[in-house]
Amino acid sequence: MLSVPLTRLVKVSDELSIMIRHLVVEAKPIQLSTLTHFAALAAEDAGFAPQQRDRIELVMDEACSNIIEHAYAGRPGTIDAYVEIRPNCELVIKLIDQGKSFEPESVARYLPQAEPANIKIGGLGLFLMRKVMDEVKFEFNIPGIGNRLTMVKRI
Amino acid sequence: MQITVRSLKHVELVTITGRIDGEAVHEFENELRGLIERNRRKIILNLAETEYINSGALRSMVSALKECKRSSGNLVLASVSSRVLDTMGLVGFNSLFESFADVVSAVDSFS
Repeated sequence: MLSVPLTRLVKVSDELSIMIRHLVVEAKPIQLSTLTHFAALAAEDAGFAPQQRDRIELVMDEACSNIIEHAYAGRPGTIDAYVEIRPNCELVIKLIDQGKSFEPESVARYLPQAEPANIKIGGLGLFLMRKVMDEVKFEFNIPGIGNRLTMVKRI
Repeated sequence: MQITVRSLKHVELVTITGRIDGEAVHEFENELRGLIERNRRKIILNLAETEYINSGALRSMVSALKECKRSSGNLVLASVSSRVLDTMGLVGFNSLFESFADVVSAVDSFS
Protein backbone atom coordinates (compact mmCIF):
# COMPACT_ATOMS: atom_id res chain seq x y z
CA MET A 1 0.00 0.00 0.00
CA LEU A 2 1.39 3.43 -0.90
CA SER A 3 -0.99 5.35 1.33
CA VAL A 4 -3.30 4.67 4.20
CA PRO A 5 -6.93 5.37 3.25
CA LEU A 6 -7.61 9.08 3.66
CA THR A 7 -11.10 10.31 4.44
CA ARG A 8 -12.52 13.77 3.96
CA LEU A 9 -15.98 15.27 4.11
CA VAL A 10 -17.19 17.62 1.40
CA LYS A 11 -20.15 19.73 2.45
CA VAL A 12 -22.90 20.01 -0.16
CA SER A 13 -25.35 21.90 2.08
CA ASP A 14 -25.76 22.81 5.74
CA GLU A 15 -27.04 19.32 6.53
CA LEU A 16 -25.51 17.15 3.82
CA SER A 17 -21.99 16.15 2.98
CA ILE A 18 -20.21 13.60 0.79
CA MET A 19 -17.69 11.29 2.41
CA ILE A 20 -14.71 10.69 0.13
CA ARG A 21 -12.07 8.06 0.85
CA HIS A 22 -8.90 7.76 -1.17
CA LEU A 23 -6.37 4.95 -1.36
CA VAL A 24 -3.28 4.59 -3.55
CA VAL A 25 -1.74 1.17 -4.15
CA GLU A 26 0.76 -0.34 -6.51
CA ALA A 27 -0.95 -2.03 -9.45
CA LYS A 28 -0.07 -5.55 -8.39
CA PRO A 29 -2.27 -8.62 -7.80
CA ILE A 30 -1.14 -8.75 -4.17
CA GLN A 31 -2.99 -5.44 -3.62
CA LEU A 32 -6.35 -6.78 -4.82
CA SER A 33 -7.50 -7.85 -1.37
CA THR A 34 -6.75 -4.36 -0.01
CA LEU A 35 -8.74 -2.78 -2.84
CA THR A 36 -11.71 -5.13 -2.57
CA HIS A 37 -11.81 -4.71 1.21
CA PHE A 38 -11.74 -0.92 0.72
CA ALA A 39 -14.80 -1.13 -1.56
CA ALA A 40 -16.68 -3.61 0.63
CA LEU A 41 -16.20 -1.42 3.69
CA ALA A 42 -17.48 1.63 1.82
CA ALA A 43 -20.51 -0.33 0.59
CA GLU A 44 -21.24 -1.40 4.13
CA ASP A 45 -20.89 2.17 5.43
CA ALA A 46 -23.16 3.40 2.63
CA GLY A 47 -25.85 1.04 3.91
CA PHE A 48 -25.88 -1.68 1.26
CA ALA A 49 -27.23 -5.09 2.28
CA PRO A 50 -24.66 -7.93 2.50
CA GLN A 51 -25.51 -9.37 -0.93
CA GLN A 52 -25.03 -6.00 -2.65
CA ARG A 53 -21.87 -5.34 -0.62
CA ASP A 54 -20.46 -8.68 -1.81
CA ARG A 55 -21.32 -7.85 -5.41
CA ILE A 56 -19.63 -4.45 -5.15
CA GLU A 57 -16.54 -6.19 -3.77
CA LEU A 58 -16.63 -8.52 -6.79
CA VAL A 59 -16.89 -5.59 -9.20
CA MET A 60 -13.90 -3.91 -7.55
CA ASP A 61 -11.90 -7.12 -8.07
CA GLU A 62 -12.92 -7.26 -11.75
CA ALA A 63 -12.15 -3.61 -12.43
CA CYS A 64 -8.78 -3.59 -10.64
CA SER A 65 -7.75 -6.98 -12.13
CA ASN A 66 -8.42 -5.53 -15.58
CA ILE A 67 -6.26 -2.48 -14.84
CA ILE A 68 -3.40 -4.66 -13.56
CA GLU A 69 -3.62 -7.26 -16.34
CA HIS A 70 -4.51 -5.14 -19.34
CA ALA A 71 -3.79 -1.44 -18.69
CA TYR A 72 -0.40 -1.98 -17.02
CA ALA A 73 0.23 -5.52 -18.35
CA GLY A 74 3.23 -6.14 -16.13
CA ARG A 75 4.54 -2.56 -16.16
CA PRO A 76 4.85 -0.77 -12.81
CA GLY A 77 2.17 1.74 -11.91
CA THR A 78 -0.42 2.73 -9.37
CA ILE A 79 -4.16 2.57 -8.86
CA ASP A 80 -5.80 5.56 -7.21
CA ALA A 81 -9.08 4.34 -5.72
CA TYR A 82 -11.72 6.78 -4.54
CA VAL A 83 -15.02 5.90 -2.93
CA GLU A 84 -17.68 8.53 -2.39
CA ILE A 85 -20.61 7.92 -0.10
CA ARG A 86 -23.22 10.42 -1.21
CA PRO A 87 -26.27 11.54 0.77
CA ASN A 88 -28.68 10.49 -1.99
CA CYS A 89 -27.95 6.80 -1.24
CA GLU A 90 -25.26 6.54 -3.92
CA LEU A 91 -21.89 4.90 -3.76
CA VAL A 92 -19.43 6.15 -6.37
CA ILE A 93 -16.19 4.28 -7.05
CA LYS A 94 -13.50 5.97 -9.14
CA LEU A 95 -10.36 4.18 -10.25
CA ILE A 96 -7.52 6.10 -11.85
CA ASP A 97 -4.56 4.58 -13.64
CA GLN A 98 -1.82 5.66 -16.04
CA GLY A 99 -1.80 2.49 -18.09
CA LYS A 100 -2.81 1.71 -21.63
CA SER A 101 -6.27 2.79 -22.77
CA PHE A 102 -8.69 0.46 -24.51
CA GLU A 103 -11.94 0.65 -26.44
CA PRO A 104 -14.70 -0.80 -24.20
CA GLU A 105 -16.98 -1.36 -27.18
CA SER A 106 -14.35 -3.54 -28.84
CA VAL A 107 -14.34 -6.01 -25.93
CA ALA A 108 -16.30 -9.15 -26.77
CA ARG A 109 -19.81 -8.98 -25.32
CA TYR A 110 -20.47 -11.90 -23.04
CA LEU A 111 -23.89 -13.49 -23.55
CA PRO A 112 -25.23 -16.06 -21.07
CA GLN A 113 -25.89 -19.43 -22.74
CA ALA A 114 -27.60 -22.60 -21.56
CA GLU A 115 -25.08 -24.95 -23.19
CA PRO A 116 -21.43 -24.91 -22.07
CA ALA A 117 -20.25 -25.56 -25.63
CA ASN A 118 -21.90 -22.32 -26.81
CA ILE A 119 -20.33 -20.11 -24.19
CA LYS A 120 -17.76 -17.57 -25.27
CA ILE A 121 -16.20 -16.35 -22.08
CA GLY A 122 -14.55 -13.11 -23.18
CA GLY A 123 -15.89 -9.94 -21.59
CA LEU A 124 -17.14 -11.64 -18.45
CA GLY A 125 -15.57 -9.08 -16.10
CA LEU A 126 -17.05 -6.14 -17.99
CA PHE A 127 -20.42 -7.90 -18.11
CA LEU A 128 -20.36 -8.27 -14.31
CA MET A 129 -19.42 -4.63 -13.80
CA ARG A 130 -22.32 -3.47 -15.97
CA LYS A 131 -24.74 -5.98 -14.45
CA VAL A 132 -24.04 -5.05 -10.83
CA MET A 133 -23.50 -1.30 -11.08
CA ASP A 134 -26.08 1.28 -12.18
CA GLU A 135 -23.51 3.30 -14.13
CA VAL A 136 -20.13 2.36 -15.58
CA LYS A 137 -18.16 5.03 -17.40
CA PHE A 138 -14.66 4.80 -18.89
CA GLU A 139 -12.61 7.89 -19.70
CA PHE A 140 -9.11 7.68 -21.13
CA ASN A 141 -6.05 9.92 -21.27
CA ILE A 142 -7.58 12.79 -19.30
CA PRO A 143 -4.87 15.49 -19.14
CA GLY A 144 -3.27 15.57 -15.70
CA ILE A 145 -5.26 12.55 -14.51
CA GLY A 146 -4.88 9.51 -16.78
CA ASN A 147 -7.57 6.90 -17.26
CA ARG A 148 -10.61 7.08 -15.04
CA LEU A 149 -13.28 4.44 -14.46
CA THR A 150 -16.36 5.71 -12.62
CA MET A 151 -18.94 3.28 -11.29
CA VAL A 152 -22.11 4.23 -9.46
CA LYS A 153 -24.39 2.05 -7.38
CA ARG A 154 -27.63 3.22 -5.84
CA ILE A 155 -29.36 1.57 -2.92
CA MET B 1 -6.42 -19.72 -1.15
CA GLN B 2 -5.44 -23.36 -0.69
CA ILE B 3 -6.11 -26.13 -3.18
CA THR B 4 -5.93 -29.82 -2.42
CA VAL B 5 -6.49 -32.56 -4.98
CA ARG B 6 -7.41 -36.12 -3.99
CA SER B 7 -7.97 -39.00 -6.35
CA LEU B 8 -11.07 -40.99 -5.40
CA LYS B 9 -11.48 -44.06 -7.63
CA HIS B 10 -11.81 -42.44 -11.08
CA VAL B 11 -12.75 -39.03 -9.80
CA GLU B 12 -10.59 -36.06 -8.82
CA LEU B 13 -11.76 -34.15 -5.76
CA VAL B 14 -10.52 -30.58 -5.84
CA THR B 15 -11.08 -28.72 -2.59
CA ILE B 16 -10.61 -24.97 -2.53
CA THR B 17 -10.30 -23.15 0.76
CA GLY B 18 -10.48 -19.34 0.88
CA ARG B 19 -10.90 -16.84 -1.92
CA ILE B 20 -10.36 -17.30 -5.64
CA ASP B 21 -9.71 -13.64 -6.37
CA GLY B 22 -7.56 -11.89 -8.95
CA GLU B 23 -4.47 -12.82 -6.98
CA ALA B 24 -5.27 -16.54 -6.68
CA VAL B 25 -7.06 -17.25 -9.92
CA HIS B 26 -3.99 -18.24 -11.96
CA GLU B 27 -3.10 -20.96 -9.47
CA PHE B 28 -6.67 -22.26 -9.64
CA GLU B 29 -6.62 -22.17 -13.44
CA ASN B 30 -3.27 -24.02 -13.56
CA GLU B 31 -4.55 -26.71 -11.23
CA LEU B 32 -7.61 -27.40 -13.39
CA ARG B 33 -5.57 -27.24 -16.60
CA GLY B 34 -3.06 -29.69 -15.13
CA LEU B 35 -5.81 -32.21 -14.40
CA ILE B 36 -7.20 -31.91 -17.92
CA GLU B 37 -3.73 -32.32 -19.44
CA ARG B 38 -3.25 -35.49 -17.38
CA ASN B 39 -6.53 -36.67 -18.84
CA ARG B 40 -8.35 -36.52 -15.50
CA ARG B 41 -11.74 -35.48 -16.77
CA LYS B 42 -14.08 -36.46 -13.97
CA ILE B 43 -13.71 -33.63 -11.52
CA ILE B 44 -15.55 -32.53 -8.39
CA LEU B 45 -14.99 -29.01 -7.15
CA ASN B 46 -15.64 -29.00 -3.43
CA LEU B 47 -16.59 -25.40 -2.69
CA ALA B 48 -17.66 -25.88 0.94
CA GLU B 49 -14.83 -23.67 2.17
CA THR B 50 -14.68 -21.35 -0.85
CA GLU B 51 -15.60 -17.89 0.35
CA TYR B 52 -15.44 -16.03 -2.94
CA ILE B 53 -14.89 -16.48 -6.68
CA ASN B 54 -14.36 -13.91 -9.44
CA SER B 55 -14.90 -13.98 -13.19
CA GLY B 56 -11.46 -15.49 -13.78
CA ALA B 57 -12.43 -18.48 -11.65
CA LEU B 58 -15.71 -18.79 -13.56
CA ARG B 59 -13.82 -18.70 -16.87
CA SER B 60 -11.51 -21.48 -15.69
CA MET B 61 -14.43 -23.57 -14.47
CA VAL B 62 -16.34 -23.31 -17.74
CA SER B 63 -13.22 -24.05 -19.83
CA ALA B 64 -12.56 -27.14 -17.73
CA LEU B 65 -16.23 -28.18 -17.98
CA LYS B 66 -16.09 -27.96 -21.78
CA GLU B 67 -12.91 -30.05 -21.90
CA CYS B 68 -14.33 -32.68 -19.55
CA LYS B 69 -17.56 -32.99 -21.52
CA ARG B 70 -15.65 -33.33 -24.79
CA SER B 71 -14.26 -36.62 -23.44
CA SER B 72 -17.47 -37.89 -21.82
CA GLY B 73 -16.33 -36.62 -18.45
CA ASN B 74 -17.83 -33.91 -16.28
CA LEU B 75 -16.97 -31.23 -13.79
CA VAL B 76 -19.51 -31.02 -10.99
CA LEU B 77 -19.80 -28.86 -7.90
CA ALA B 78 -20.32 -29.83 -4.28
CA SER B 79 -21.41 -27.73 -1.29
CA VAL B 80 -21.62 -24.39 -3.07
CA SER B 81 -22.03 -21.46 -0.68
CA SER B 82 -24.78 -18.91 -1.21
CA ARG B 83 -22.23 -16.22 -2.08
CA VAL B 84 -20.58 -18.31 -4.81
CA LEU B 85 -24.03 -19.30 -6.04
CA ASP B 86 -24.97 -15.63 -6.28
CA THR B 87 -21.87 -14.84 -8.36
CA MET B 88 -22.60 -17.76 -10.67
CA GLY B 89 -26.20 -16.60 -10.99
CA LEU B 90 -25.11 -13.12 -12.12
CA VAL B 91 -23.55 -14.59 -15.26
CA GLY B 92 -26.13 -17.34 -15.78
CA PHE B 93 -23.80 -20.19 -14.80
CA ASN B 94 -26.07 -21.87 -12.23
CA SER B 95 -27.68 -24.15 -14.77
CA LEU B 96 -24.41 -25.03 -16.54
CA PHE B 97 -22.96 -27.12 -13.74
CA GLU B 98 -24.45 -30.07 -11.94
CA SER B 99 -24.37 -29.16 -8.28
CA PHE B 100 -24.65 -31.45 -5.26
CA ALA B 101 -25.29 -30.79 -1.59
CA ASP B 102 -22.17 -32.68 -0.53
CA VAL B 103 -19.11 -34.50 -1.83
CA VAL B 104 -20.61 -37.98 -1.31
CA SER B 105 -23.55 -37.19 -3.59
CA ALA B 106 -21.17 -35.67 -6.14
CA VAL B 107 -18.98 -38.81 -6.14
CA ASP B 108 -22.08 -41.00 -6.50
CA SER B 109 -23.13 -39.01 -9.58
CA PHE B 110 -20.15 -40.46 -11.47
CA SER B 111 -20.96 -44.09 -10.75
